[in-house]
Amino acid sequence: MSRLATADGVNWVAVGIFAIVLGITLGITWWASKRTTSSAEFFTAGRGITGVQNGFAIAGDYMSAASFLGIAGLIFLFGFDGFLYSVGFLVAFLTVLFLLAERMRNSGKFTIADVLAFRLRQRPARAAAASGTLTVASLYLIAQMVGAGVLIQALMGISFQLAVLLTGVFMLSYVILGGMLATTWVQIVKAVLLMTATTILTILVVIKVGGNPLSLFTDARDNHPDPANYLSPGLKYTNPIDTVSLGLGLVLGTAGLPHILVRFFTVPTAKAARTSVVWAIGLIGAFYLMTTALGFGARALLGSAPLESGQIDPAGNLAAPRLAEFIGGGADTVGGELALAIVAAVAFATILAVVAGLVISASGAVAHDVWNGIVKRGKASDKEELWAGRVAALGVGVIAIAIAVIGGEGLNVSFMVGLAFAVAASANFPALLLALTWKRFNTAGAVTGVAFGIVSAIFLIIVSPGVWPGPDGSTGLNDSGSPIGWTLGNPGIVSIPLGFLGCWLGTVLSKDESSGERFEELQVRAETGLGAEEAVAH
Amino acid sequence: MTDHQPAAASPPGAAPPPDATSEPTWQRVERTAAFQELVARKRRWVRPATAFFLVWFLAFVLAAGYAPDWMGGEFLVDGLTVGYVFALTQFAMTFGLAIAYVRRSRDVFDPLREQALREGGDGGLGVPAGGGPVGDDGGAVSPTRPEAVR
Repeated sequence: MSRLATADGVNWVAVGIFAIVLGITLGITWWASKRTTSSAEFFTAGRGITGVQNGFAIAGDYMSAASFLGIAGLIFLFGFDGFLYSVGFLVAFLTVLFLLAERMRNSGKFTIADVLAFRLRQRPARAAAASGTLTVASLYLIAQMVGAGVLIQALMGISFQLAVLLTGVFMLSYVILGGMLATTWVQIVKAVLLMTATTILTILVVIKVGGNPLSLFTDARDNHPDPANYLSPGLKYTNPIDTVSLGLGLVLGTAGLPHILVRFFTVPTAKAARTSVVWAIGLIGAFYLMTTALGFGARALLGSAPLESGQIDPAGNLAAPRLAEFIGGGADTVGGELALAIVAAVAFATILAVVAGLVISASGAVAHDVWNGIVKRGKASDKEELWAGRVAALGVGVIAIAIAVIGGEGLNVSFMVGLAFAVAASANFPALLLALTWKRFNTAGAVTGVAFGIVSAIFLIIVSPGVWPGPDGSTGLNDSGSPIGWTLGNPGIVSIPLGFLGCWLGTVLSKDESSGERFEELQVRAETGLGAEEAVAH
Repeated sequence: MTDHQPAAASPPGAAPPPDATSEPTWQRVERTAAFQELVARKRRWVRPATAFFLVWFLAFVLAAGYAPDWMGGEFLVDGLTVGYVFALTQFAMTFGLAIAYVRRSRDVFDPLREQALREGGDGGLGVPAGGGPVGDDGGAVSPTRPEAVR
């Protein structure tokens, strides 16, 4: 038996490969720390990242362990329904490209709130946008930290608490010492590692099933306990409204994720922002296509046995690592151990890149919006804002580490990721989109909209059936134990319209029409780049 | 006020652009025919494209939710399902629309943008980030910074 299943020993090959990855990232951080001397360098890498680099960094920022291990696991378990996530996560980038990327670059400085505060009243607008950012970033951050702990424990044999602490310490080193520059290059390295590993694994899997990609589907179907339905939708989501709700949350939620949106501040021009989304779409699209090979491949080649023996966890997260182990030669072979260790290291790098991106976006909301914008009314000096960013990163990071360690493995990862996407789609996205496109929109509308979005998304998830039968949500969604009889696992179909409704209601109920002229100026700036923040000259 | 309170924009005449009219640069850019055309043409492209991808994606999730049997049906060969092919069309659509948008921007939107900035603003430099000193942080930092030359 592989030692990894029981976690009773440390996988030294994996630890060694981890150490190499960590060494590279610390080297990057050391290099970046010498170039991070102003707030613009800390929060935006001095706006000196190229479009192509930013495309890789977006891909590295976006594809979390939930994408790499989670989707492969969902496809392994539920077939087609797992692939729904892949499609939604990709199509979402069209929303980002068409509606936000260039406008964000042209009209923001460090945070999402900058765009709203340009035309709305500073302090309430910043408070609203920062609430949305911090809610999304902290939920996502805690989810990733818990996920990191569980996975590293399973893959390397070190304890959950130690794994969370390690992740947290490295995450904070990158951000506090190296700022956005270190974060960006960690994300680029991770994207390259992830794409390379996934591509090699995909090619080997296709060769293993006989060279015909169609055999992936036929073999996987024949190896699933429910062959008649495995390739059809409906194994995971039996309620069609829930399926649609999930889709809406995915396709609009990405456009409200603060760690993705702040990446557009790191490039010198709007044109580079556009280029970066297209590169990100290419990379992310290729990756999600390959999740087919990982998920269906694991089912085709491994069958159901590892699930029954506990080698693959009930959530399916270990499907891709076990697939790699099998391709490498099987458990307890040198090749198998090595392949498993490589996948484990890639998964670790994946998590590190995402949590670093989350921490730096949250630190911007705390330092730039709450501290400088609201408390100091914009009077803080550049140096003060730089140090506030570092302190904020430390604070956010330590709180997230503490919650992850204390809440421990009991916190449900997919539940919190779902919540983060739901809040992003329902609170951040409506306010941001309307600030950029609706002349009549005003401060009251932004505040009401964000409040509606956050409250409705959180409330509907708390009463959702996934929460009530048990924390792992594995019980069928149709026998709901929800206290109000709510049957949807995904709140988007209700909470997103409520977010927009809040924006509209707050706007029309308030007599304030003062932001109209500022809107015209914002529009000119957003469309042309007039007066946009410049790259820092070195 | 704090960031993005552009010195050139709030009180007319503060920090005048090179030709020294009292009107802020952004208003002159806004009034150019090129800017109006940019906004109109962008809207004419982005709105239908956004509607199209949202509808096509919604059709996909609706079919997954309401027609699982149809989605699970065989498409031409054993193993390939209607649903998987439908999913592949989403990938193709995303790649296709992204490339189309970039081409459109390069051929139509970018030239109009440059023209609007040239005509509206900053002494014919056509500089994207020009247009008079624009102070951020309450004007504490930027005015000392030279205009962008990119």
